[in-house]
Amino acid sequence: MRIDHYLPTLKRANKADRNPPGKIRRVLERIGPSMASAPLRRVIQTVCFITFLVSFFYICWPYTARPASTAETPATEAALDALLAGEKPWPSHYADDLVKKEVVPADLFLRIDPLVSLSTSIASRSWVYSLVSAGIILLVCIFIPRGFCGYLCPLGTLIDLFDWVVGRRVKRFRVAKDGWWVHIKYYILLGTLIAAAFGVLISGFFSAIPVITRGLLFLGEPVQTGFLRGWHLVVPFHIGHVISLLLFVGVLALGLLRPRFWCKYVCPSGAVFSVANLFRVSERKVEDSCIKCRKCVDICPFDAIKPDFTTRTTDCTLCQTCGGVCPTLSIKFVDRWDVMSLKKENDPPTHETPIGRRGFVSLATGSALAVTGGVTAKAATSLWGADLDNPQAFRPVRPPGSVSEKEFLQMCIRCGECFKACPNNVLHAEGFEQGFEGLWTPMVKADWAGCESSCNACGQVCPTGAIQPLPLEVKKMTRMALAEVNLQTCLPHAGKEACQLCVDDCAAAGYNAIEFIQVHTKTDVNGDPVEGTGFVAPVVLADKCVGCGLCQTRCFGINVLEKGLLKQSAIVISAGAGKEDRGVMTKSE
Amino acid sequence: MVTSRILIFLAAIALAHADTIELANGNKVEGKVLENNAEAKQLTVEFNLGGTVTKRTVPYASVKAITVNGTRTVLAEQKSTTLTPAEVQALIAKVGPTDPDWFKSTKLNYPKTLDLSWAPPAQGNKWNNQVNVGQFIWDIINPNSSRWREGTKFVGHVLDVNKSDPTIQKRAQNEMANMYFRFFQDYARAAWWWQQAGTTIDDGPAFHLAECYWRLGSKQMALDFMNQTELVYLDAIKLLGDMGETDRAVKMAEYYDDHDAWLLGGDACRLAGRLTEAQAFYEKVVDTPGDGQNPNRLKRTQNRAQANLDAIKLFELADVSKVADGTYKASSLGYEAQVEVSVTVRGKKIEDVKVTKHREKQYYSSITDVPAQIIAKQSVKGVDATSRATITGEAIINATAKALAQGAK
Repeated sequence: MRIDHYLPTLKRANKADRNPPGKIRRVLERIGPSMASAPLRRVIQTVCFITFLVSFFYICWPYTARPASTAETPATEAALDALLAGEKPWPSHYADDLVKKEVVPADLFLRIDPLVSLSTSIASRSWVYSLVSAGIILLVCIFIPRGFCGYLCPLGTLIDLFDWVVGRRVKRFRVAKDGWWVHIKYYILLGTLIAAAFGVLISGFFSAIPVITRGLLFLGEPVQTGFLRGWHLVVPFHIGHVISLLLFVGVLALGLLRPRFWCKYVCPSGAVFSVANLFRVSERKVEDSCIKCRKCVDICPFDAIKPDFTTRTTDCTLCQTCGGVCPTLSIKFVDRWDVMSLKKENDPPTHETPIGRRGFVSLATGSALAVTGGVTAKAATSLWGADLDNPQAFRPVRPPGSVSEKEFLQMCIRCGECFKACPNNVLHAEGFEQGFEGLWTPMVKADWAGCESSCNACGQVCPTGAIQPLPLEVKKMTRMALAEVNLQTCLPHAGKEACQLCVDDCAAAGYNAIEFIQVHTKTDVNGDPVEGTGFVAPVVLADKCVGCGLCQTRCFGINVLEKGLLKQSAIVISAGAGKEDRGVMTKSE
Repeated sequence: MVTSRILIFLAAIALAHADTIELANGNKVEGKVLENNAEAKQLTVEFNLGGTVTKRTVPYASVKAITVNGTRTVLAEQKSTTLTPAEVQALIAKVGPTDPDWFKSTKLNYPKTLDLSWAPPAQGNKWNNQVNVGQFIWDIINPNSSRWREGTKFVGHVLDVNKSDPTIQKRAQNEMANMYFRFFQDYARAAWWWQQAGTTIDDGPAFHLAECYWRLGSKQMALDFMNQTELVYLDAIKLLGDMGETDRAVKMAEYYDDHDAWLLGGDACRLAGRLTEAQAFYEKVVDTPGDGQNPNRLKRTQNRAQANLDAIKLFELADVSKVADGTYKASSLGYEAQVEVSVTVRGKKIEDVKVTKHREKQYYSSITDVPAQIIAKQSVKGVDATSRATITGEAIINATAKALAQGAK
């Protein structure tokens, strides 16, 4: 079995042929040596990266939706009666638009990052549906070991691009020798999984796809929104955003030390594949025709070639760039058990011992640090966390369809995909309101915007099922919070002036969950009401309110910001027991 | 997933030959028009409700247009028919005593603490909408259209409970008429209940009863009823104005000589398209000095007059052919904040409409759509606000009208 696809392999039939390179090869060589030697890999990387960008910037960009006024086809007598009586049909343009655009799942790459589903599943002790896609990709990677990192991962491709543009020009931070960091990814993976075993999900900090998704969210989304819709719609930054951005910039900056430093040494998602490489069926092998020219060692982006030119099998991503630069075509990609005319090992000597005293010490130290890290994460969330047992603690309003708060914190990977898909940014990234535990989780900020009645995107794009993928018919009845009127400040209730913004907005959205009551009516001497006195004031019908927050948005926008009549919205949504429908369902597809 | 797609596909095939019925209420429904009966002014439509077929007759009055085999036909507007007083009375006698079709299925819903004997509130008693029937209707039923049906049902119940008390009977009958009139524009039933209550020209609701006669088809019957009195009432001015008896309404308003009457006189003129006269009436109201009595009422009337004046200026005088060349800026309150618009007029043409400032979120295409419509129509009239971004769209329309009015010569 040979799975070579680097370029000179096409010429293998006549090895002696040393014709000058053809036109295509000359163009490829101009782009770079890795392009000339393994173009297929670069093409796949490009396709995946573009797919990722399209799914993030186009599929998860809700503003292509337009309300349609198409003719309805009622399915029941009641629905027909409602249409004839003039009841407006429930709009579905945002939900429809997402279905139409979702040629590939919006959260495809999040689903195939194995650490996302693995850690979520361990932390919440439940079946996470994206384990299936992660399982499939791990299975594929038995044939193309760590192929995810070399071919698919958009963060890896972005780091390659960074190196191509910046890294290769800035040499002063480069480190020549291997240091203590070379196995750090395994310890981060261990620490993450230990924390998950304690029910604390920190993989979102380090997992490859959440890192790039959040990076693009906090960097790219504001730019996209600003240019396409107006800068007033860019969500203000807080400390949580800054931390995430520093992390993202840090990941790229590591590329100054060595190309793909993050992927080689730090990324815990990559570590999952490295471990899975133990079960590989194919690998890179070197034949005895090797002339020890070191070209392969120099070009390997993953530092996966030992000084004796054999393979560090847990690191090799089978990118085959080495195959393309080898002047003697001694490198082959074959099944693991191929022993045909192989080069002698340890020639020249690698000075590597499988597990010496120093190796054992570093293994012990690393593991100890990982355990400490995992336990510290657990301790940190107990001391400075959501404090769920305390009824006074801060309880954010979660997106519609969210699982119970405890599970939510264990299942939300903090990737930010839901923020991106949410029209008008109803969902904001939490800061430290719930301590360290709630960082970057989605919360509804109704002063900013209310949840659109025709949209169910957040649940559809959530890769872990922390937000359940509700059909629109269910979502429109799912309570996320309850609106309450402040009788002291509400303009008509306080007898100040007429206002019916919240009632109008609730009716326009189709919920009709706020009705009027006449207040402050004056009476004449007979006790009869005087026409035109008093105000009609809002009353929330608790059995109809789903807590979408549209009322609060309007009251805040007009009465607080525009007119300056109030300090805070006089109608406010809040979450809590009895105010929200939060299931413990598991995502099934 | 796949099955549902196949079902949708099959449904699409089944509906390929469906006709579209555009309802007057703005909804559109797919169905098959079996019969278009111009004489009876109704359509017979077959609807396919998820596989089961049902036939309905739909009156012209509730249909705007139909599209049959790709051809769209706007149904002729139902001309208001003229009836003789005897015919109107016969209609009232026939329809009045019956219940509307929703009446039976409407649930009786009221707080059990209510005192159904509907005693007038005793002097000094606190206002309590959970005890007093009138105050309950005032506070909770009147402001909420969603409660109008149950409110009518409730008054029917009060009637039943108080069969032996003629005073309360009369009060409830009047309320019943009032509800049919104000909530449902159901003039036959309203007239019947007012007649049951023995309403004469000297009673409060007399001119509402007269209006019922007119709305049901006989202006003569309304005028005959009104002519039973020599006195001038405000309600009479309004009704005469609405009925198109503008001269008589104007004369009465001048005779009455009061800011409330002038407002109604202005309304009558505006309705008849006599804008200069209307403006004169409204300006008279706005200029009325207060006499200290009931200042709130005067203020309200003046506010209404001012609003009507502004509306006339905006929409009826904001005619681009009267606007001088130039660029005008104005703003109007949108969903979140003021929406500012800049309008450029050159050579009696609206050259450009641009939204220059806004803080809206859910605006869809209204920011570009509405200005494009205004430029295409060369007017702010007849422009549709973009669906589901109505508030933003209307703000743009209003701001454009205001801007044009600035340059009106």
